[in-house]
Amino acid sequence: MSERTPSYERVNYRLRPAKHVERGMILEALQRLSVFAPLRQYRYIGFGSTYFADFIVVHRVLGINKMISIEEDEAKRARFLFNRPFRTVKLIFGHSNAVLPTLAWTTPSIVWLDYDGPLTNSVLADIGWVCSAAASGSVLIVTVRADPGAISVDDKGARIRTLKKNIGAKNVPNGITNDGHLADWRLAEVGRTVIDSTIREAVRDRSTRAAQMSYEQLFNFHYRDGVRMSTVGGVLLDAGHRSELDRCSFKDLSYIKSGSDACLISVPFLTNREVRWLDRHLPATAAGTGVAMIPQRDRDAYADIYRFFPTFVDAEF
Amino acid sequence: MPPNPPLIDASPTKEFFIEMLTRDIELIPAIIDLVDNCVDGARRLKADGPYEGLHVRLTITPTAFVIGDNCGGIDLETATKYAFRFGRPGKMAPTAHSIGQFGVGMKRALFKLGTAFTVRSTAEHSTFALAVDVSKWSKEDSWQLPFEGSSSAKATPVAKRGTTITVDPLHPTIAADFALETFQSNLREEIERAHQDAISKGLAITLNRTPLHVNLGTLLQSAAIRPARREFSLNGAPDSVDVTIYCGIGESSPRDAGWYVFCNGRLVMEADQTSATGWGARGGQAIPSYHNQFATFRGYVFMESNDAGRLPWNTTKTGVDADSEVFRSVRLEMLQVMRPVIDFLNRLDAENDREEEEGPGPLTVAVESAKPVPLAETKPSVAFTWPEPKAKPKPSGPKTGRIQYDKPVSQINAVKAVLGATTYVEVGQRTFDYFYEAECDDT
Repeated sequence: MSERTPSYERVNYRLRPAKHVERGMILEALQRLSVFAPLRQYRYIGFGSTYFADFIVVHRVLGINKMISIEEDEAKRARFLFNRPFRTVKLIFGHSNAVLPTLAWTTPSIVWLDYDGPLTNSVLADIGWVCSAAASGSVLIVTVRADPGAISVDDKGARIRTLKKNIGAKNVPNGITNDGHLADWRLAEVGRTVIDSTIREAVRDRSTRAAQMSYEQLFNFHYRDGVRMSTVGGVLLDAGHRSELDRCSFKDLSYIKSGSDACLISVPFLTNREVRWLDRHLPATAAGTGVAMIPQRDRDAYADIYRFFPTFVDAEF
Repeated sequence: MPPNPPLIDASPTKEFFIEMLTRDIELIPAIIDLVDNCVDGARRLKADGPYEGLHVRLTITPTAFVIGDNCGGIDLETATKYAFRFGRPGKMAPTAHSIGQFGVGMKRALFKLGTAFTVRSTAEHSTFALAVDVSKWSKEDSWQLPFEGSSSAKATPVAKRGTTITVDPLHPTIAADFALETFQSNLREEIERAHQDAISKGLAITLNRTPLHVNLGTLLQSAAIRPARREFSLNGAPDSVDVTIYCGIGESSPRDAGWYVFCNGRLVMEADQTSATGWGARGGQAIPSYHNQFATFRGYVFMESNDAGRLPWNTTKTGVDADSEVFRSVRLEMLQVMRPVIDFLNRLDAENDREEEEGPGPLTVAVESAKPVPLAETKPSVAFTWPEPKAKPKPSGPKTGRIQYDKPVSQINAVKAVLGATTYVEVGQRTFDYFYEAECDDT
């Protein structure tokens, strides 16, 4: 959670279009959790920051009341409390490494650990805490920065060194030996592998106690509102819930990804007029409909995400 | 096709076997293995105790080793079929909650100690005696042991049943160890710790006629400070493992801090401060590595099972099998109960840093007013709880840090005179402010 300048002081959370799309997709998928338990019985845990963007939609769309926001910066307590969007959002101050193990984990939870920074041992520790305790039917979602940074001719191996420093050499997967292995979205892919094995290890370790707990990945998003970000997540299931997984029909949703193959969210720049025009021709099997003035690439990208496409308007309220 | 394919003899030589068997165990754990057998006898007689009237007597001299008990004896069938076999045969009925598990402890200990031994035992309906000259036996091809036994329909009274093992002569190096007073005191300490559960339930263990005592684990408790106590079962075939975990704080002692792990009452890890018990987990982010700031940390894990094979001990009972699925599950719970204690100790440490100026803080006061209570008297609690300071830390205002350094008094006084300051603190603050305004403050 630590960063020199917290992202809420640099970016307005509401103006991150790719994030907005991702949130829409995740929320749509989470509605299907009602197969395991009524959504109202779920608890949401996140890092609300001052905007509480995820908390607002979780409450509105899923109807979840029990919500916990973990906030490290106790010095700004008053400001966080002031921005709390609903009465039922509980703020707990402290580092997530210390707070997560102290929560009661008997109710199924949706936990979205949305970090500003890269994957680190601290993130892995949080993942370990959640996966070793969360009740069956719970969902864990982890978002980290996955930007490899510029390559430097003078400083070969800088990306590998940073990765080793962040997650420890023993967590670096085999075969990741030069900076090229971390280029483009490959750092995100490595991150997903490391997160996935951390989750599976914790799930394996508790399986003696919790009836055959298993993990099913649902999300593997790549997106960028500026820097590359990666979101990985899935659902924890005991043997009983596992047999009901098919009833959720997660696979019907095109953005659900159960493995290393990622869903890349790319938000094209389109005018409101173009958006309305494209909407009239969607859904379509091929995004070929339309006029050549909008590049094909943008039309395809739009067809993938149009149901979640954000519209920003200038408003005073 | 040849009628008899040629065969290679791969059977072990006895010398190799004895050498390998004894190499991996130290002397004291080997002797404690023999005590384990006595304790198993006591458990067979009286399950969970109390063990009043039962005794284990160890005598060690520079010439011989003797261990005798009145814990039920070894019956003839067990002696002929199992007790002296190397390894526990699969068809042998297990002793409920036994400590002996691998079928290797007694033999290994006897080989470790000397070159000849005798075992005499009286059980309910039988009695036997066995005398082995190891140096002679190791040269024979046969793996059989000479033995005299008899059974009778008449039951021997409980008080007269028991086993006595004598090793004489000892290996010269063992004899030299036994002559040392420090060896005896170490052995006493280790038995007291390994078998604190049995001793506390009344089993009278003596070493050279001196009775052994135990100091059972305690944790500090008060209205404000409550240790964690979690109880749960790990199901599985054929028997479940019942686990109790206690975690909290005790007296400050870097040597005694850490985790204590017991399997069927037997201590297998003592004051452990390694990653095996969670220290430094996930690169130190989930749990930091041990350091002396955590000198009051205490954790106790008790694992009990009818089936000793499900418990995660190693064969020398000096550690856990970290790869066992039982221990992996238990370790996850240990991590969870550790974390709040670590947070508390970090806060306490921060508070102590400020103590010079502000006097003892609320956490220090809470610790001082807590009393040690035996583990059994603690109340179930998912987590270690401690008093959150009532007054919220000063809201708003930036995070602060402390700077401290030493400088020659003459120089400090010179600065003091220039500043017109009256205290060292003022010197420090005003020189910092002066630098900050000159070099860092853009406004």
